[in-house]
Formats: sequence, structure tokens, C-alpha cells
Amino acid sequence: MNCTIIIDGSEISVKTGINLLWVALDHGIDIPNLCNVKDIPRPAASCRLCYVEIKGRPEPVTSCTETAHDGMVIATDSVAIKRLRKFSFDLLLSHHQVNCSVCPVNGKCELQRIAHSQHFKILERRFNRMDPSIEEDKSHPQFNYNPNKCVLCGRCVYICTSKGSGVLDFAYHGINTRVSTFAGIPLAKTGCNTCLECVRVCPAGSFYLK
Amino acid sequence: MPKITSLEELLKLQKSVEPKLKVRGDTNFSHFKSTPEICIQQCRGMGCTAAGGDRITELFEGLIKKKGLSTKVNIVRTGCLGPCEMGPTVIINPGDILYVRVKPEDVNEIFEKHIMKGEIVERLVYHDPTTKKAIPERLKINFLADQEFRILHNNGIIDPWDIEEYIARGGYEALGKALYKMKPDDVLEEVKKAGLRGRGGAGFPTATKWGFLKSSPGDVKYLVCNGDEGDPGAYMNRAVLEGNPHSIIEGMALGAYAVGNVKQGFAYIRAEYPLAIETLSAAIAQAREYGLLGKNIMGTDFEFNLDIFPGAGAFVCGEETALLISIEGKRGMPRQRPPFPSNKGLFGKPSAINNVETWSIVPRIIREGAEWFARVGSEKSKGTKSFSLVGKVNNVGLVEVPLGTSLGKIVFDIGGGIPNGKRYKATQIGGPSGGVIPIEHVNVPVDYESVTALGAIMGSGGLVVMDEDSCMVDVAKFFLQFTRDESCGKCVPCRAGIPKLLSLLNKITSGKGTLEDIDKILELSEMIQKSSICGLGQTAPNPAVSTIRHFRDEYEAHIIDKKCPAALCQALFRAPCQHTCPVGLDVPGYVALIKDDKPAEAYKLIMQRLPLPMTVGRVCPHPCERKCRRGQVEDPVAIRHLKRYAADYAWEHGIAYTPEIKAAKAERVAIIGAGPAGLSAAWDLAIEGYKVTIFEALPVAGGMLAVGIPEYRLPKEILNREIDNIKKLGIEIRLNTPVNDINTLFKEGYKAVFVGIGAHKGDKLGIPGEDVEGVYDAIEFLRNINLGKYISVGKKVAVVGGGNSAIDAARVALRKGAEEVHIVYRRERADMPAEEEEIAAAEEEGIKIHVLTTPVKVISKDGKVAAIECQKMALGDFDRSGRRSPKAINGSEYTIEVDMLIEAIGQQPDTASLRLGEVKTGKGGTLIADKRTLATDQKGVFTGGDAFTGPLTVIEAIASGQRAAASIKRFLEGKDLIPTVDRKDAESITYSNVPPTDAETAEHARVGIAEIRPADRRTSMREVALNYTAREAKEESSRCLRCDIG
Repeated sequence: MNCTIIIDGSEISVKTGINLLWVALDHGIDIPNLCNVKDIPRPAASCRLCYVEIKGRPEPVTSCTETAHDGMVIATDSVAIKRLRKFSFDLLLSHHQVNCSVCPVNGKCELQRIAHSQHFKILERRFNRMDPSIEEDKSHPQFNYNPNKCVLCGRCVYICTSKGSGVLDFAYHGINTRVSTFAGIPLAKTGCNTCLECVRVCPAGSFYLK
Repeated sequence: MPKITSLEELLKLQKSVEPKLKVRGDTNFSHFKSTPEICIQQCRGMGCTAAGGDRITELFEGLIKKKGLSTKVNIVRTGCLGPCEMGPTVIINPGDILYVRVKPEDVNEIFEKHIMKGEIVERLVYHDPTTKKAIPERLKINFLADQEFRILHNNGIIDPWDIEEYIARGGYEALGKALYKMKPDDVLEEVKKAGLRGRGGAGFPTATKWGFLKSSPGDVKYLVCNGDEGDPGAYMNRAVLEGNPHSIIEGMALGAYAVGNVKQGFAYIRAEYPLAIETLSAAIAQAREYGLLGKNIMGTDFEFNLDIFPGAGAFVCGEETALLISIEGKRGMPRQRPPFPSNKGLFGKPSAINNVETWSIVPRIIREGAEWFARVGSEKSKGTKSFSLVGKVNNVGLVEVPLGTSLGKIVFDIGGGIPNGKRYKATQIGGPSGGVIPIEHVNVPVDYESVTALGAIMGSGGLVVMDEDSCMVDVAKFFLQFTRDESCGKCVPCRAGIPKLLSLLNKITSGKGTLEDIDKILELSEMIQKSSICGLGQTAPNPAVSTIRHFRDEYEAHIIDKKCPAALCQALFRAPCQHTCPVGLDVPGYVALIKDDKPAEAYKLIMQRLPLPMTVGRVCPHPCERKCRRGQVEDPVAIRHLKRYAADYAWEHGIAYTPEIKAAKAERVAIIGAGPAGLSAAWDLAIEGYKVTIFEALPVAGGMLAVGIPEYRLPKEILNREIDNIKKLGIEIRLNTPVNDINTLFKEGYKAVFVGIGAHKGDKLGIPGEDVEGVYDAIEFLRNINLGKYISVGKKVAVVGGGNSAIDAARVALRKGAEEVHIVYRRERADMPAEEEEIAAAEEEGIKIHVLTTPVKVISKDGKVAAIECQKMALGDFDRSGRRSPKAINGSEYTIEVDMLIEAIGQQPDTASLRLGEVKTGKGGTLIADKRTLATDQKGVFTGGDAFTGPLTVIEAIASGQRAAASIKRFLEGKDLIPTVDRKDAESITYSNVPPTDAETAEHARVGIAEIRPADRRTSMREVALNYTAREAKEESSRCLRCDIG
């Protein structure tokens, strides 16, 4: 069943119950996001970037956790939205290793893309830096894993579990949380089947080809 | 045991077990001698077990066997009783006699006397901390008497490992009633009517939650019990799990029946509660065995199964979505709601999660009815709630009270108040997600709405009581450290935002904070609250936000004054005593010098910051001693006495300290009032080279020190000697010279004026008949006596009030010939603001204190006071100071015959004959000025001391005099005023930095100070307190722990 929703003033006819973020992206409306993976059954909603306003709701909501229904009126930009997105973005940058010039994904990085589209500054340093300084895992013959760049979007964990060999998950708590193999053993010693899906989905140069 | 297949069978079983429990409910001790059966109930809760409860049980069991009494004497181990701090506890029935803190060596005595002979061992029962009276009956103890046991009604009574005991107390009757007599909707309706709200913290109506689940489509649904109790200091759920596990099973079965399509439930219990898991496992096994869980429950076709899922101990798994994901076997990370669990919960199926306590009360609601449940509680929050009362409170333990009970009642009546005479400050409610409720709101009814309105949350029921030694910034830090460590790390605001918050708080507690940091904290908090996925992140900033809301001045003290009022934030100070001293005296320094036999050096060190050491060494209320680290284990170091020792030594040996005076400056400064504030301001300004003139209206200098404090506390010779020393700096004191207008001083060429006129006007009671001869206010009375004016002191004197002036006036009256002196005070003795040592001395001298009494009328004869009519008072609600405010009891009037009445109820600055120019006055007639720079609204006019603060202490007055002097100096130099005083010591005096030896740090009673005998005091104004001898001073100074080293 189809329904009509209004995003930023334009009417769109979509399938009822479809994920709002995907609809917007499919229609060329740019909503910044990092943790979104299409068709994930339970969106992580962890990057806190994809905020939109839905008429009738008191505060902006994450679009990745909303589904379309008839008559929905959505705005993808406002002062409140911007404030929330910038807060998350600046916080993410506070513990992301920023060395773009030597970064393997320089130019392809989604953080850079979001900064560009949203007019955020990568080097603003609004919050004190907290560098994790964790050693890179270079054990795998084809790709490296640099936890210091990880934004904990969880795409790799989802993709490795659903399509790969399921060697990745989150470990530790709080600011020390990181994507890790079981007990932190080197990637080469896990059952990794080298599907390279992690490299494909990583938005921030944490998993990258050698 | 064959399965129970009908309600009748259940009731039959209930009837057959009931007699077994009869003795346990028998609270009549007179039955003891003739009883055929005795039951010893020993608590096996956490507190009692940790205190050695297992051993006590073993010893009792051994004695029962040895004496061959197994048929008569029973011992049963029950769930937590509540008074955890008094463990191990033992109840003996009949009689409901409670023994507390039972040690293995006590067991024999209890057995021989109580069990064998029926004699209560008084030594081992609870003793009221104030009356010291033994209270053997359990429910007569304040702590337990004011509670209402509904959730915990089986704790302390039944053996949680025996399903039959639960059944005997009406257990599973509700389930039987529901299955046989009620439709599922009736059950739901009853819970709705009861108004039960979730006890996990948010207070969501339970029936509504079940209703959502019921109407959610699907034929597989789950119920979950949230037993992931993890807040610091909370253990309510544990007590239910360990003490009354069947109530949870029955509650969940009732929920399953009400909702429909639920065949499986899960109890998620943290693995750190092994006994809870074991107990509930055993209960589940028994319930299955008795046909009360599983298929065909009680012979019907109703099926419900329950399994335990032990949680690995992550605090975040108490959040419902994380908990469900954890049961699914994945990492416990919350997810965004919606969808809510009632639509998509466990394994994607509709589910409802309720807290342990919520489930456990459901059976009683069904069995005893919604009305029974709603009979207690407040309008929107029905029923009772259990709390774990911990922190700085006398009775630590588990408490169950009706919702809406005032916080003060919980802290002061049930909790027994604050230990060690400390002042209550606030209570943290709701754990790391909650907030603080400060003393001003101590009357708040503890229910969901009221607590939320104050910026805290009810939470699962942790109450952490805090006293004056708790730093509020530190409290916020403590809870944020907890949430930082417990954050799952999934979403950015919580993961990275909380550490940022914490680093700002750390910045403040290390003295590097700025006022903008407070705004940063609030903004950061708002954003974290708004953008986190789950409750943990959304509520994590609450402790910071709520402490800022209620204690912003404490944050500002850390930031502006670099002071931690609780003397806790170590980075801000060398030693807590020095930090607490308003003038920042180097206490460890002069104590060390006294210890090293250098009292003259000690005197010099003191004089660098305090020009009145002999005086202060006698009358200071020594706030430093309240924060002395030794004071945490025994009496604090006698800092004041040691100061007096050093100062008196210097006097006796003709050692004087005259500071170096800087180059003379052109500007002249006028000081109005030669009290401690004026004198110390003059001293500091004179050292800076300014020419200072003090104008004093009275014929003597010293202010209240001269005309308020009696001779026996402060000999005038001592005071005058110190004032003479001050005058040596070239300060002129013009006695008998009142100033009428501050502006004339400027006209006379003074460039700055300090108004330190003190608070010399006594307040009147304002009761009928007080305008007769023989009625004085204490200030006037003491002033006249001190100035040597004749006052006819009556034979029977009444003094009204509880402060130091009241005590002074009473003790002076006694010395001036009164035969009887009565102090009439409207609150309790413990509430009297006077120094405890002064009150005790007055009592020693024979002064009678009438507490909870207030005068209502003065009765006169021939124009002279003849009697006062008094009224007894009863304590009502708590006031903003955290004390119960007294209310008159009608018809309690009685008269005390007196021929003199002294009113000592307060005092204020007397500004009637002083024109203040642009300076404004405020509350209590005090002058208005900036709290830190002490600048008034008129340029060049500064104030301090009692004139600014209202009646305070001599040391506060001196500190403000110094503060004002620093501001005056900057003002005269044409610099901007700054809120801090830059204190530089004139000459550096070195002292030993050797830490105390083990022998010195060992416990050692405070060296007392000799006093003249009470009998000698009645007729003489001689100084009561004598000085330390050199040996005593050395001994006492050796008690210093030297917190400054290290």
C-alpha cells in the first residue's frame, strides 16, 4: 500500500511502513548518516546524525528509526536539527584520529562528505580530543584495521555477521568501546573469509585495503 | 508432593501449614513462658550474612541439637529484615524480640537466658541512640515502627526456600482466585483500579503496559522480570528475590493470565546476586513441583513457564531494550524506541518488562483488592515503595513506606538522622540517573511527580543521604564516573559526551574551572539528554544538572574562591583544617611548631594572618575542627586550644609580633566600628601603609568581643592587650565617637570607608506585656554588664533563645546573683545553635533548659515582670534548615515565675542613627554588598562582619575585614576589584615536614583542657577554661595527622 508523505515541501508517494531515511536518500534528499545499512532489520541509530523533524513530534527524531505513513510531514533542516547533528558530529570527531592528508580514504571519507554537505568543520575541535591510541591490526594479508579511526557505526559488525564470517563484534564499554575480534586476536588468525565487506562499508577509513 | 489441582487443594494446604507459622507472628512476649514452640528467625540478607550471620545460625543449630530441643525450638533463615547496618539480626518468637549485631560469643547467652529461661538479654537488643533505652520489641524500634510492610511482608517471617510457608501466608491464593473466579480482564482491571505504577523508576502505569501487550497482535508473547538492579547503593530488589521469590513467580503468572497468549516468562537477574538466583531457581522448581508453574496450573488449562536469565552485570542491561537483546544472547546494547517492546520485544515478539517489585506486589493486589492497595500512597502514586537508605544516616537499611511519605520522615524518623552531629545536606534519589534533593525540600513527599519536579527521579529506590562533608560537585563526579564506565558505547552522545562532562567537573574540582564551564556543563547535558538512544544516556547528566540547580553556589565556591566547602576536593588545599578556616590559618604549621617546642614561632605564624590570636583561641567556634581528619575516627585535634596555647605563651614571655609596614601612602581610610572586622581590616591596611582611623561609638574597642562576650569566656585584659598591639601600627581608635553620616567622612578627606558596625540591636519577641521593667534583650543586658553598668539581676531569670547569646546571658545572670536561671527554647536541645560545649557548661552550672517551649505572654505585677506564660511546642514539618519547625500545642500553657526576662532571639545592625548614603540595607537590616569584594553600592564604601552577614562568628568577621581591606587596597590603587583575596605571608616560617609516626597516628584521646570548678563559677567572672601546660600542648599537637604532607 502506498501513502503520501511530504519531505521539505515536496510530496512523495511511497510504500507505507518503509524506512524514512532510505526513502529520503532514494529520492536524492541528503540526510547525513553513518550507521545506516540498507535493509538492516534493527537500525543501530547510533551515529545520531540523521535527525529530521516530523510534524506533531515535539523534538527532532532519527529518521532511520521512523517509518513512513500517510500524511507525514517531514523537514530535514532546521536550527534544532542542525544543533543536534553538529553535536554528534563534533563529538564523533573528538575521538576519531584526524590525519586526513595521510589517510587512505582521504576524499572518499564519509566524515568529510558530511562536513562538506552540512558545513561542519573537521578541524574545529569543539571538544577536547580523546585519542584512543590503539595499535593497528595489520595481520591480514589484504586489509588493515585501524581502531583509532573507527566511529563505531557498527556497519562492519552487521555486515560481517550477516554476510561474512562473523568475526567482528563490539567489545568494552563507554568511550573504550571498539570493534574487535574475539578476545582481540589478530584478524589473520580468525576465521575471516576475506569477503572484504567490512572495507566496503567502513565510512571512515578504519578498515582499508593494503 | 502431588501437584495442586484445584483452588480447594491449595486452600487445604494453606490451612495445614498455617499452624507452623503461627508462632512467628506472635508478638506477645507474655506467651513465651508457656509456649510449646519457639522460633528463631535469622536474617540471611546481604548485610547480616556479611556480618557473619551464617556462623550465628550454625551456633544456634548446634545448641538446639545439644540441648535436645529440636522439637520445641526451630530456627529459620528468612529474607532481609531491613536494619542491615545492625546485622546479624535474630528475632525470637513469641514476642518478636529482635537481637542486633549478634556476635558468635553472644549466642550462648541468648540461648541460656532467652530460650531456656525466657529472659531478654537487654545488652544485645536495639538501644535508642538518643534515649539510650533498650527496645527489645522489633516493631517498636523507630526504624521499623514507621514503615509499612507490604512488599516485604514475608521478609523476616518465612523461609523463602519453602513454598509451603509462602502458601501458608496466602501465597498463590491470588493465582487460584484469578484462574477459578476471575476473567483475564478482571485481573487487568483490578491492577488498573489499584493504580499500580512501575517500580523500576519511570512509574509507568502497569495495567496500561499490560493493556498494550494484550492488544498487540500475535499469539506468542513474553513477560520479563527486570532484576538487573545495579545502581550504587541500591538493593531493594535483591531483598525481594532472596526473601520472597514466590511473589514474583505468582505475580508474573497473574500477568500472563491477564494478558493472554503468554506461555513463557524470563527473570533477568544479575549474576552478582548468586543467592537471589539460587533462591528464585529453587522457588521455580518448587512451584513446578506443586503444579503452580508449567502446564495445567492448578488443574486448569493455563500454562506459564518461567526461566532465569543471569545477566552478566552490565548496568545498561537494566534498560529494557538492552535487557531483551541480552536475553537473545547478544551484546546488551539498547535500541531506539519505537518500536516499543509491547509491539516488538523479545525475539521480535510482543513483550512486557516489569521490575521485581512491581511483579511481587501483584498477587497481593489480586488477593486483597485494589482498594487495599490504594489505601496508602499519594493521589497519583499509590501503594508502598521500598527504598535502600544508605549514606550518612544512622539507620542504614531497607525501608518500605507509602509513596508520598516525606523525605524528612524517611531520613530523620526512620533513618534516625545524621550520625556524629553533622548537618544534613541533601539526599540523592534515583541513583546515577537521579538527582539531589537539598535540605530546603526535605518535606517533599516522595512520589513520582514531586520528585521529578525537583529534578530528580524516583528510580528504583536508592536513597543516598549526604551530610555537610559531602561535596556536591564530587557527588556529580561520582555518578558520572559510574555512567561513563557503564555506558555501552553505542551512541555518540553517551559514549563521548559523558567523558566530556566528567572532564569539566574534574576541571572544577581541581580548581581550574571557570564560570563558563557551568554553562558548558548545562549545554552538554541538555544535548546528551536530548540525543542519547536510551535512558542511561538520557538521564546520565542528571546528577550534574541537579547539583548545579540546587548547589550552584558550591560550584562557584570551587571556581571563584577555589574552595571546596566540604573540604573534600584535595587538589584545592593542603589540609582540610586550613581550607575550612575562614582566614586560612596554617593550622598544620603552627601545630607542628608547638609539637617541636617552638610556641613562639607558632605564634608568629598565626599572627601573619590573624591579629587576635589570644581572643580567637578562646572564642572561635573552630569550624576547622569539624573537618579535622582525625575527627573521622575520634575527637578532632584541639586546634583552638593549641592556638590559645601559642598565643598565651607569647604574651607570658613578652614576645610580640609587629609586622613590617610598607611605605606610607597618602590615602586615609575610615573604619566605622572597632569590632573584629574593623580591627582586622585596619591591621591589614596599616601594614599596606595606609593611615587608618577607627570610629567607635562605644566607650571601649572590640565590638561584640568587648560588650557581647562575657568576661569568663574572654577576659577583657586579653582583648585589650591584643587591641593595644594592633594600635602599635599607628592605627587611631576614636572611642565614644559615633558617625552620623558616612559622607561626612569623605568630606573630611577619607578616601575609603569600611562600615563594620556589627549587629548590636537585639530583636524583640513581640509578645503581649513585654514592655515592662525587668525585660531585656540579651545584647543590651550583656553590654551593660560588660561596661560595668549597674543592672539589678533578678533572683529568678528566664532567658529565651538557644543561641550563644542566650547561653552567655544565662551564665552571666547566674554569676550576677540569680538563684535560678531558666533557658526557654522552642525546639529540641539538639537544634540549639549555641556551641555544644557552652550548652553543656551552662547545664553543669545548674541552668535549667526548657525545650519545646515558647513564651506567649509576659505577666507583670506593679509594672514589673512577675512571670511568663509559656506554651509547649510539638515538632511539625521540617523547615528549610532541615529542622522540624515547632508548632504550639493548644491548652499546654503554664507559667514560670520570674523577676527578670532576657530575650536572646536574634540581633541586627543598628543603622538608625547612621546615614548610609547610597548603601542599601536588606534582610535583617544588614548592609548590601557584593559577597566577595564586599563593595557596597556607594563607591569607596565597603562593609563586612555582622553588619553585612548578620550575627555570625568572630572568625568570619575577621575574614571579611581582611577581604574588605584587600578590596580597599585595590580600590585606592585604582584597580578593578577581584573576588579573591591574595594572601602572601610576610616572612616564611619553616616547620618540620616529618610525617607523624605510627605511634602518633594511633588512636589517642584528645587532651582535655582544665576548667575551674562549676561551684566556683557561680560567684566569679573568672575565666572558666584554663590553658594547656607545655606537656599537654605537645601531647595534643602530636595527634595531628599532618594532612598537609604528602
